[in-house]
Amino acid sequence: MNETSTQTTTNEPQTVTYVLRPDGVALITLDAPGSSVNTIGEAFGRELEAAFETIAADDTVVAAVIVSAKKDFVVGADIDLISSMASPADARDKSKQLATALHGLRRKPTVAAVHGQALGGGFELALACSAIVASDDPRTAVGFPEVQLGLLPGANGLLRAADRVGLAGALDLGLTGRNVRAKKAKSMGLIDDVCPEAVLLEVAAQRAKRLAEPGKKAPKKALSTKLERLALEKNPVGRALLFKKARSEAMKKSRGNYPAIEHILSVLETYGAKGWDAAAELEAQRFGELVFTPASRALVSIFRGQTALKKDSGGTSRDPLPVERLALVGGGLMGAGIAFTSIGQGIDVRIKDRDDAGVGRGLAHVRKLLDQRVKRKRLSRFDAAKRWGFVSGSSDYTGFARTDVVIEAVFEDLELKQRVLAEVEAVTKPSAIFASNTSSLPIARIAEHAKRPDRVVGMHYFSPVEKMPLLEVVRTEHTADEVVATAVALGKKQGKTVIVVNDGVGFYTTRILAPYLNEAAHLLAEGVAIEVIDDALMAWGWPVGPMQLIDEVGIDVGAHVGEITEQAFGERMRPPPAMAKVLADDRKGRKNGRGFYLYEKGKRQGVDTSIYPLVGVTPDTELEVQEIQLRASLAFVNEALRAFGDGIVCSPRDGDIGAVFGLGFPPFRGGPFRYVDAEGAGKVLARLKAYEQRFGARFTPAPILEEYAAQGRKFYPEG
Amino acid sequence: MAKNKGNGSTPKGGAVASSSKRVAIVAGLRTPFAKQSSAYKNLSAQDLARIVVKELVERSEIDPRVIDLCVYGQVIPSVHAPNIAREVVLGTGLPMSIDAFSVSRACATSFQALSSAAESILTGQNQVAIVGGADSSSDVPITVSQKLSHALLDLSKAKTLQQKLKIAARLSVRDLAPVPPAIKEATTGESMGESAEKMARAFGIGREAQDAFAHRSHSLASEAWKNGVFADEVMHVLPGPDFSKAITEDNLVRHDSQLVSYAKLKPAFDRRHGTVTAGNSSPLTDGASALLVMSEERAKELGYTPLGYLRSWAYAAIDPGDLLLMGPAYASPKALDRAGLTLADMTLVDIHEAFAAQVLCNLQAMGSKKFAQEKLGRSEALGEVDDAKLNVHGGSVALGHPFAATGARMVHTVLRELRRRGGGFGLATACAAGGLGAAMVLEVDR
Repeated sequence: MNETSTQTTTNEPQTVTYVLRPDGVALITLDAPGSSVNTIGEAFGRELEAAFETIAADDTVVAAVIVSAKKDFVVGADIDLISSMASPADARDKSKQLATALHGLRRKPTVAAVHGQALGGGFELALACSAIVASDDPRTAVGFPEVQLGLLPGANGLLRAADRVGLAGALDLGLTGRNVRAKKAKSMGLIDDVCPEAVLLEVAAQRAKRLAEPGKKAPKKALSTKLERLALEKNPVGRALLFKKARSEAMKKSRGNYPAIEHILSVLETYGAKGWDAAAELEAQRFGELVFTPASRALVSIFRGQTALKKDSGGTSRDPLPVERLALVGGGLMGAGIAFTSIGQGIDVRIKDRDDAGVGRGLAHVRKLLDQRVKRKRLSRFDAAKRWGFVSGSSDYTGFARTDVVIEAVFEDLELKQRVLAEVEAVTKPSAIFASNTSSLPIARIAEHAKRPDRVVGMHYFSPVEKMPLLEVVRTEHTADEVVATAVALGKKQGKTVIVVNDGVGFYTTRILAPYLNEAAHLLAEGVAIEVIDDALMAWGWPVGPMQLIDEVGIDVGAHVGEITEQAFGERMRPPPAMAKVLADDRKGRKNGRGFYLYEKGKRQGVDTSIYPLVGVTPDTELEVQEIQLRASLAFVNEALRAFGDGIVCSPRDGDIGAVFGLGFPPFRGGPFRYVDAEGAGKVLARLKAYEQRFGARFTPAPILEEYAAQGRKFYPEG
Repeated sequence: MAKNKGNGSTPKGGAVASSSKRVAIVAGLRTPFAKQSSAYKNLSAQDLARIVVKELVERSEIDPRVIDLCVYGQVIPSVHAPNIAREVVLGTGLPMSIDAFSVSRACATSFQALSSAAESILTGQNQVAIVGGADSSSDVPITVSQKLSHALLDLSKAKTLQQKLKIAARLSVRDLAPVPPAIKEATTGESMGESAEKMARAFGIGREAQDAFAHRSHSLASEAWKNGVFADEVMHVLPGPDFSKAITEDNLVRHDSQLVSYAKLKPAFDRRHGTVTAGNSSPLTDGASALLVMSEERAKELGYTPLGYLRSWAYAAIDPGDLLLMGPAYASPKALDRAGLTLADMTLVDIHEAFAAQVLCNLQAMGSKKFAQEKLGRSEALGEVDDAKLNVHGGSVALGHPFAATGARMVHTVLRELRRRGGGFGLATACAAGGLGAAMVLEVDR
């Protein structure tokens, strides 16, 4: 082989290098030195530009292929780069620089050979090429996740996506931030070809060469796609309709809390009305502004926290033990959900329940989740069958002897859980870990009579397990480090973001949720209408209102947990007396179709107004929306600070991640700690004190808040 | 291959597990057996096999990594997965490194699975094996006529419309009808029931004797269920798709069996002169069974107390056109000889009950000196089987007969009963289509 290797000038290790193949195709490899992924950092645009300068000037180069040496193509912009931007103007300029660099890619026919993820800036890079070829690997996907960071794609990616799939398609990608797998991307027209990874490079090279042949143009779009776009997007009336609808739908969900959404809409709207230059200019401008919005700062902070937690082994230096077999005691929705998330990882799962009927319910739920995924084409029939082979059930403890981890998910009753622990200890090996999925009972109490208290840990999953991203691992003073590390590693394997907290009633998440839900109940007891309460808090950014949440969790479950927290923490956790009346009226929420809302065939209808006479109020109390929002949300924030002060949650990072991923605290506020930082500890303190005066001890500020306010400290001193 | 030498009384070339190296049966399990198209109508043989093997592995608490072989079988063939043994391994989360092959020996299929694994273990090729068999008579492959099948193949190769039309024109409406599988001897065209009738006539076994034997089978099986004999042998199955109703017992056993009611049934095969009825035959059944087997040393290493051991086995083959289901009378003496034992040494005898008539014919032949001399070339009869030792917990007539699952069921039941009786020897034997017979001598240390 007679290959010419061309390196650009410096001797520093570079991300972008290329070799020239004998057939005239320049093979550009992206391989960020010292990193497991390629991200678009400071030097990336420069290096790319330099490489293409040389390529453009070199007559022996016919065409080019861009490929990654990592397991992913390019996963997006470097978060540090975004955080380092000095001002909106600086951010705008950096966005423009990258856009210019990418613009130079088409001077010679260039094909992106995508294997793994091409996200954000990585997808923009691929779109800037003359064509995109992707591997058919299930991991290969493209998308614009920027919106999840409160940003928009800043290097003309949306515009180029619109060229390929129309304005409506680009809107969908930009607003949802969803990943599109290779096969789907091909059928949408977002990419040009899909092939096995083994031949990816060659397929890309051949395509690049073909594009270099004189007279070759990009293939034409199908007539039907053209017609549709003509009707909707190419005329001002259709376009206005499209954007009006998209805007109102987006607003319904975002409640105006996510400025990136509006900006994505207007960039694409401008592209449709005024063309490339105007849209590109607006895009850079808006990108610069977005980087400095509090929402983006908060979302980036969560992203950082999440990334850091991925690398964190639970604050211990011990290696996790291998988990090959997992047993679940209790085959309810929780147990079955945990089983489902484990069998996909090749972990053998045994579901134990009281009787055959209980086992059957557990198995049926796992099967249902598998079938749903097959139906939605998220899982092949064969993969589903394979996973199914990893689960079995029994009404006795057979199969427990070799089990590495046992998770109990039985009814929230201390004695029952202690009994289960004793039974499990009797049949498992000494190294087996006993994890309780309790949401409120202290792990140390459950382990009170344990023979091996060092093997006992809490693994608090959230319902529905297969959807909720958080796992709260609870350690007691006896829990061994390797047990914590194993629980954390297992949770990560199951796809969870894992925080480790110290033991105590309600740990972190349940404890901070209780005062929030109680405050909503207080508002109701004061005569504030249920839909008013829920709507106010959703406008503040909660994904569901608190009354609806109680219905979902179960009024009985909520009351039961409420008793436990009240016993431990006293007055500030006491629900209004009206709640006892609701419970006594056989209202359990969605599950028995009787709650704060009406249900018809399992679907939520309007508010059940018969609740008001039951509680003894008329729903006509009018409060300022902000008071409703802050009373409930600050009750939550205040308790989060208390939990930090008490050493339950170990860091503001864990506290924020737990609140956002476990309980739905508004992500754009970054979590309770980030929220206090943004508002200012002094301001939050003053507000709480005012509420304390009006409503009593349940609003007494957390000692740590007094402290931070007095010292002017921040939970994130680095910003 | 170096085979372990048997003791002095063992004839040459016999399959015998010598006392120095024995194949241990460590655990066993079966599903409840269910009438065709009843409890398991939504499950295939593969599904049933996976369910029972998965549960066997769980209950035995064995580390799947020590298993290195799976020998499994089904009698009704599956078009989708011809090697059911491999599907069992791949579909139960077992290590993919476990070798697997399928065997077929009609109604003696899981005897074959066990002896194949035993050979492999005794010759040191494998250490620990899962064996068994499953059948679903509710999930049978319905095929198309040969003419249609040929036409479809030709069509896939045809290029022009004209060619295609020409091929289609070859077919008549009759060729389009689906063809269900037949339970007939491929060489003689005789159905099993017809064979049983022929044997009953040859041995002079009357209707009353057959009905009485069927009643005996149901009564003993019912008693065994009531006394909890099967509690450790039979798992609970939760059939999908709703998993709501657990199947915990065989559903063919008549718990209120009355001798008089058998007499009311019409003969099933020879309607006018016959004696074989649905009541005194084994029914079409769905079910699966499995055994965990290993060398005696390995069992000791792993800390298992085996249920018992496989001491010897033998197969026999006779002319299917003659008396089809006489296999036990031919195979049993061979297996006993190889074990160095006699029928009198047996604490238990278990004969597969394809038909009450077939069991009674075989018993007669075993006790007949004439049969021994003429058919077996032995001077003396094998011996009479004491009724108190025979099929003590019923047999296939009452429990049902998922073809490939029956052998492992018999072996397991005999071993557990021997243990209950403080040890000893047991003979398990079965007839099989094609004029085949299988026999195994089992032992439980006293």
